[in-house]
Amino acid sequence: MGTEIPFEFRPHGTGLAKVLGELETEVMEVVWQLGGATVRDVHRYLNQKRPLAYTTVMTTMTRLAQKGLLEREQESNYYVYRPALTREEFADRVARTVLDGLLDEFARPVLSHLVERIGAEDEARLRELEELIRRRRAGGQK
Amino acid sequence: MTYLHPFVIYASFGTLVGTLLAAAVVKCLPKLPPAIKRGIWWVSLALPFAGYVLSWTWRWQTGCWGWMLSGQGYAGAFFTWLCRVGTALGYALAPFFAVALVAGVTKAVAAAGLARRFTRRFPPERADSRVARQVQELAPRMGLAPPAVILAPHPPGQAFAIGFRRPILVLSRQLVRELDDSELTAVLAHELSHVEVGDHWKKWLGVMFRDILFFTGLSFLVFRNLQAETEAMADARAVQVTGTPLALAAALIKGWRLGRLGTRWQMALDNFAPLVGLGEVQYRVQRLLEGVPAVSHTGMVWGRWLPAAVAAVTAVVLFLFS
Repeated sequence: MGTEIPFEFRPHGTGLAKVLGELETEVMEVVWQLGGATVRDVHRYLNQKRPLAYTTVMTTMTRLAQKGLLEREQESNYYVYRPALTREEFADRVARTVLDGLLDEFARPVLSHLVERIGAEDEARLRELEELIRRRRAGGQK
Repeated sequence: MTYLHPFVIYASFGTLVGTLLAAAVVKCLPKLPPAIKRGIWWVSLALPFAGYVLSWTWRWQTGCWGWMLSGQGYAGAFFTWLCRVGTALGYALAPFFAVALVAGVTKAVAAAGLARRFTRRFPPERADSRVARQVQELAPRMGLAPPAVILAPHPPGQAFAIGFRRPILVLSRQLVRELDDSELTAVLAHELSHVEVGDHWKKWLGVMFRDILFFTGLSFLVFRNLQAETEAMADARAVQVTGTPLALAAALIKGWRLGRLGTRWQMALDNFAPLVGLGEVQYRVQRLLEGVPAVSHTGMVWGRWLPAAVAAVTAVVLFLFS
């Protein structure tokens, strides 16, 4: 199961912003991409898109380390931050935490909605295939 | 129960060994032709029955390895213990197996009886009807005498072959109404290709084996794989005959949509037309869209020996350990 990651779930956010702040999300994306990075590396990377204070990035990375999402290691006189979890492991942990929390309180409606949702996903996939067949047949294929 | 308990051991142990071997072979050789994969899955479904019959015919000395080793150190003690546990389990499960055996055979016999009633209830299509004309045109191309065709209101969305010596094609009326000519041809070619290789009675037998072995927990998984390969073979053959994979894919989706409307007859005729899940339909449609490989009833030469090899290894393991 691993240690629990504290986060606030925002159902209307998109992607990682459902569970992390905007800057936290950007920092995590950079660290996942680079594998390991100093505050300076991340600051330089993000600064290309928009001006950001070095201390803001540093505070964010320290907070992510406190949350257990980043691990830091001292090398000479600076810290190197590495992701504590891969992107997939993080998504898995979030899904587990959110679903466990919901199932504890609302097991029946959650399960029934999940079954409905899976059915709807399958139905949508079937419609996509049907549309693909229709287009190919309209294009002259048999 | 004396006669049944060895079978429980054969069924449980044989199905487990056969399934694990079959899964390993299929996983390691994913490009095997469907015909060979089907043979391998057949082995794991049928071998417990064959092994049991052979054991009574030849009077195999069961548990000979354990017997030889008994009293010889830890291995002997282990086999003695294994033998006792197996025997106790066999006796404990024998009554449940007896029920499963009776239920499985009764269901299969009832399905055969219902099939006969079903085919008498609906008259065969006249030779000049849209469906019969297509069958008369397709069957000779596949080297078959045109079988009779009936259109029935149940089960909705289904097309299957029913019967044993003289199979009859059954098509749902709603399905025929929904399909355009090329889709109907593709469906009929698919069903005729089942008739071509005797799937109408093999399916009936496979469902009966599956039902009898349900207590092993693996028979439904094995049957699902067996059915997937059988359908893959029939799809490939239909595409070879008609050259219209997209028409078959479209027909599959239409059939599945209609099939959701009712299941009462579906249950009754399960031995001839086992229920198909949406996942299986999607898989088949995707295969058809990606381009079905050329049909092969025999496949690579060495591959033909694989089902026999799986059967031999399972039989040896059964002989040594059961």
